[in-house]
Amino acid sequence: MPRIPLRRSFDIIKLAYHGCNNRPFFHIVLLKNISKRNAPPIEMLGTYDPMPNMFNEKLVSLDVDRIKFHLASGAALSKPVEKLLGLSGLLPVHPMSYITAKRNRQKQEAQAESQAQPAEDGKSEES
Amino acid sequence: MAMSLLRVLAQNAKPTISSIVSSNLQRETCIKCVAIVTTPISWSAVRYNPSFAGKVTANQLWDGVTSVSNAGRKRGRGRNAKKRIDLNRGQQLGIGKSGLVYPGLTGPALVGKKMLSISDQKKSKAPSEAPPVEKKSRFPEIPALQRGYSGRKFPGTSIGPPDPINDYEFEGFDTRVLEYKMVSHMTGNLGRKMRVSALVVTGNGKGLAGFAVAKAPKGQAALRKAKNMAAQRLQYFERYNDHTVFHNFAVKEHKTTLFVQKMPKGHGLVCHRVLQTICQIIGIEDLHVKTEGRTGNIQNVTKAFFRGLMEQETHQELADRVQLNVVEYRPELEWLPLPVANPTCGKSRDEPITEEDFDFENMYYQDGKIPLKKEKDPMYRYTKDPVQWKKFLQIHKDRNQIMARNMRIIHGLEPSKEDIKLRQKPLK
Amino acid sequence: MAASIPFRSTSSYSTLFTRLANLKVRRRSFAHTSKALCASSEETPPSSSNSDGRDPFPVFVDNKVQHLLSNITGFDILKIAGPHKKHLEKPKYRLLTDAELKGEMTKARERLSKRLQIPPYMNPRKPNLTPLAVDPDLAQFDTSNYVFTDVTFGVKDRDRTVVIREADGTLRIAPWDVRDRMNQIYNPREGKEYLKPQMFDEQNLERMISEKKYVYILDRACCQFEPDDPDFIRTTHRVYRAIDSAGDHDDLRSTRHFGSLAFYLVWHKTADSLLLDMLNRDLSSDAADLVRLYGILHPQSACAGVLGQLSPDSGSTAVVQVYIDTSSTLTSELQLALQAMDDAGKGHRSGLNK
Repeated sequence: MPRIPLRRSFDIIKLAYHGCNNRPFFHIVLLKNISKRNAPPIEMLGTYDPMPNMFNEKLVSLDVDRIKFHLASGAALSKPVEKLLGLSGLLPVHPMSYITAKRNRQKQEAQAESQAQPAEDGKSEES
Repeated sequence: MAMSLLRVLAQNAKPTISSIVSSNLQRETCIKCVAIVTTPISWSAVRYNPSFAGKVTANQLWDGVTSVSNAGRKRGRGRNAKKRIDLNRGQQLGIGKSGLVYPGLTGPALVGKKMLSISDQKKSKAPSEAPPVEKKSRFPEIPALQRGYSGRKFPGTSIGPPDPINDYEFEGFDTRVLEYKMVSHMTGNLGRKMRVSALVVTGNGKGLAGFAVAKAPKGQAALRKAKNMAAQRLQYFERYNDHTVFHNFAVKEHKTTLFVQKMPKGHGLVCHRVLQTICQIIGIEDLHVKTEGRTGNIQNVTKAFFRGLMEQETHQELADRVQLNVVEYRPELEWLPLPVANPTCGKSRDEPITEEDFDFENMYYQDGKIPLKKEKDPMYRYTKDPVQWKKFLQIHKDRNQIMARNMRIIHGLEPSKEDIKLRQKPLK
Repeated sequence: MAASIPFRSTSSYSTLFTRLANLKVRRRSFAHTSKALCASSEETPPSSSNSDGRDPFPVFVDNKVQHLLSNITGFDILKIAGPHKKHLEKPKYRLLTDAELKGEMTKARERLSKRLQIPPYMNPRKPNLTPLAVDPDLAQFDTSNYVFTDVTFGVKDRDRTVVIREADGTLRIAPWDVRDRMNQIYNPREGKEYLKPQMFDEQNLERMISEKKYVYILDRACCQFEPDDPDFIRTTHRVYRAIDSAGDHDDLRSTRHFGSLAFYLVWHKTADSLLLDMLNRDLSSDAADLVRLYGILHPQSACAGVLGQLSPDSGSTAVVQVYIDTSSTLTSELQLALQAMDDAGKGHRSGLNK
């Protein structure tokens, strides 16, 4: 008998890294949670290209029918996939996306303020 | 007079004279010089000369090298004998390179009462330079396209149309030499007697062609003879659509075998260089021939090819023989069935032919033997040679990148080469 | 990511199920997407080019019209098969009886007739600007837009769902150019390019037209664009006008574009030179078919009225005469050509009788 109990195995939809150096590209795949990242998938459900193209777009392809089927039959989702599906409108938007968006906005506001401040200072000095 | 001469010699020719005097007699040098110069008779001492050079004239010497005896000439000797060479070519006798005039020797010693010295003389005109000897090349320069198979040989070259016969001019004809060689036979009197044998093919590029072998003592005569003989042995060959043969066939002449294959338009002539020449003369443009056995025997190769062409079966003959329509399917016409020959009687027979009975590709090989076609490994070149393999991998790595880059440039998504150069220039 | 998996798999199943329940709501959004897409392709707005303001597509797909168009296209089998650029390959030979040859020819004709399918004549499509979801809380979640493409097995390019999540958090149906690009990326087609070839730019197109490469331009346009793409419509109409003014109608005969050309000219009531070309080439039945097509496309016109009163057995000359009398602009030329054709036909017939 093994001393450590076996990990419970279940299906999960996650990203598999298929790019090369400095060029990430992901497959959205259905795998067992215990299998390796790039293990031969049970099913390939789409792709995700995280590098924006010349039109400033990140391309995601989704096999919507099969994803729905696997979700209904109890497959789990990894966090990035959940975010993607949330953005696509297939699932509710992931809370983390909102948080990221808020942080980004705050960061930008802060930046804008810090840029505006010296400009105002300079104006006051001139006057 | 003598004194003046002495002075002259003392001034100018001293080293020459002193060099012939032995070193242990230095003190007597001056006296001896005087003695030598003043007594010209003693200068040419009589002594035994072993050389023939003094005994015979130049003409006699040249005769000895260049002439051939009468009997020898009959046997054909002396054809390659040397020719006389003018050894004084470009030289003027009596004038050296410096062009000096020596008073008393090469010019007058006195002008009026004044005695001249060498320094008084003006330099005479330097002897006109010898005309440059033109290096005569052994052969005239021939343009690359008229040169035949290799540098200076006849085979492959064109020798023009055959000579006209009774006002009939061979217009549009061209003749090419296929073989040009020395042949010999032994005679009792002359020994090995050499002749030139020439094989030429003549034709008009529209299906009419003939070939002939002729021999003659001289090469040009042999070529002319063969050309005119070939013009009298013309045969007409039907060609399929004026560009290739009607079907694949094999033909054998002694130990030479040709496997001729019909090829689509644009394929070109892939065959023995002799066959390429013949095809150009006949007007065949697309052909593949595998030559086996004695491929160096050009006469047999030629004979075999002409016989094979003559024995072809045209599509019309095939249609008449089997009483069926011959239908062609061309890939560039969407495999549309196009009848190329119908039976002459206007109606085909009723029962169709089975596919097994009709194999057009291998129909005309004899005895049911068909050529073996080995499948070639397309990667052979790369996998066997490590250098090539490395190159292949390199190509594989960025095989699409150049094209993609070009597309980006076309759509204005990437700076062009000129732009990049401009950007890389230093700021100053 | 690796850390998040066990967490999600063990404890948050209930949340996942609630999300699955929410799926229904979101599904509705996807259904809405597809509905909107269908609507955008079907509800074509009235064309501004035609004075009637009618949609030509339903008229074009009408069986009668299709029949007339295919009739006037002609069927020169050698021109349809045409020598295409191919890799060198040997021709194949067969020995056939007369009956077999006839069968083979019939098969080939059937096969090649598929090449004459006429590209649809449509009005330009309109962009769908209504967003699916506006979420200001999601603004600036990323610097770039996300394009989601449905690659479900068996989905056709025209029915494919493509949505775009813009950087300001709005989810909307992708505009047409993005949809075309996504289709080319996930379902590439031979002869189509990812970006619009520069050949279709105004300047280059004019040059190609002046070189009379009509069929090449039209073929390539068919490969590159959808039939309701404004670029397709602009290109093809420009070429049709050039052909009509240059009188090169015969270049398109026995190609798939002749029907479109005829439809365009008749729809815009400028088919007179085409009719003249047909009469000059003694294609009387084609000319009659063209006039009948005019009657169908413009039912309110005087020509259609007279055609309706004409007996169905009346000859092609009578039908063309109706058009000349009622709606033609090149009346005298057409009348002369009709007369010449008639005389030639009579002469031919009398020659046969002798």
